[in-house]
Amino acid sequence: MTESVRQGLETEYESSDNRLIARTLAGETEAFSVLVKRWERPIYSLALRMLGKDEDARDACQEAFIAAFRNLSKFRGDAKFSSWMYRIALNACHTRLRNAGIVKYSLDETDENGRQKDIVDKGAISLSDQLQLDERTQFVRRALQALPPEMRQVIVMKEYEEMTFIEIAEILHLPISTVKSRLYTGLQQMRLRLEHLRGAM
Amino acid sequence: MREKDCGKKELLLSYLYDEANQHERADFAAHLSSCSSCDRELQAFQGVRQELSTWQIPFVPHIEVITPRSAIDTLREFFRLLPGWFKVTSGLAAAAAAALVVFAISGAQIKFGQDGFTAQVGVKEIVQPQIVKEPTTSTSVTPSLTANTISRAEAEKMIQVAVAQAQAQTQAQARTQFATLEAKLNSAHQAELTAELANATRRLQQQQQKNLNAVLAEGRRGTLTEWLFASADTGTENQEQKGNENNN
Repeated sequence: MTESVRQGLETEYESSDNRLIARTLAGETEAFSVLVKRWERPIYSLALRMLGKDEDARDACQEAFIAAFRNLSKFRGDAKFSSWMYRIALNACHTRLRNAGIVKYSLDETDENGRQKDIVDKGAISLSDQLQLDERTQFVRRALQALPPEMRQVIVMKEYEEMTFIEIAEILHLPISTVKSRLYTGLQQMRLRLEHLRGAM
Repeated sequence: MREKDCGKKELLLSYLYDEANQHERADFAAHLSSCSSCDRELQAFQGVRQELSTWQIPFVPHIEVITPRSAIDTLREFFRLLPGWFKVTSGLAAAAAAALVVFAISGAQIKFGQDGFTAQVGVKEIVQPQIVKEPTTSTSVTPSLTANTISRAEAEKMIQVAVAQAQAQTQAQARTQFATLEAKLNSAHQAELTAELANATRRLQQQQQKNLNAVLAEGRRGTLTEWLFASADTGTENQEQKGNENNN
């Protein structure tokens, strides 16, 4: 797909998003369901990669869409709906992470027997989730979950949601240089953690 | 093991994610041949990217968001369930009156009270234009037989009585129709409401249980009163949320 085609599609989506928003605000709540259907996949994926657990991701996703519905009248057309929606979803994820009191482990932490501690608790991933993933993916997942959320969100947005640096900066209300420095440090930490996990095997 | 910073980190990322322009690309490619540190970092990052790409999400559960029913939705359903006689005989005024009723009840419990003000407004406005015509034509038949034997006042009185009778009859009829309509609408929503209520109660209980567990787990030395306040707050919030959903 060429860049111009991609941009054309995005513009079309954007104007159709805005039409759906106008219809929702005019009282046609069915129009909002169409918006949810359109964006549930990226929003759920974002939440799952931020939170690591399917159940949490579903809840955060639902909270985000309900918050979007309630605040739809505050949405201004100067930003894309998707950017606005991503921001709401990330807020929902951060609230969950704060409430869960995520424990951070440092790389060289050892337990009482002198063995290196696992970077994240294995119990954090349910059995059914584990079955779906091969070992390599589990490493990625665990290494990603162990990153500080600010770095994780930038990696997720760039790597999985394929956003440009400008888009990420707009959504997070950050300068591009900050986005890049977080991504850079995040990738460095990912490399160390992945090496560490493989070494522990 | 910290590498010497050559100040090209941002450029390295633009290059890595293919966001560098032609000039930047050429610039960084030239830099790579002379900077082993950037070259190593770039390769390492490419490796990380490859690993990251192994985590794909095969399916996405359908996210269900229950939005409160709008006045227009309610109005649409109201007209769908409306009996034929109503649609045919009522004019613009009737539609406006019906809209008033519907807007008054939209988002709330559906109720056409027999003595309720909204129902009264609806019945009077809708029914009266009909009554004036019909009785006039039907009663005019009887007096015509003895047209010479009754006075104008008597005729008017007869007409008034007939009008009153017809009015009472039509009002009773309208009430029955409204009762049927109310029953239809309510039964259509009953199942939905019951399920939603059960759901809301369950979620509220779960939330309270979670709160309790959280407090116990933290081992916080809060007083019982503090905990009760905390859970009461969350409870109210939840109820508000469910309250909105119940309106569906």
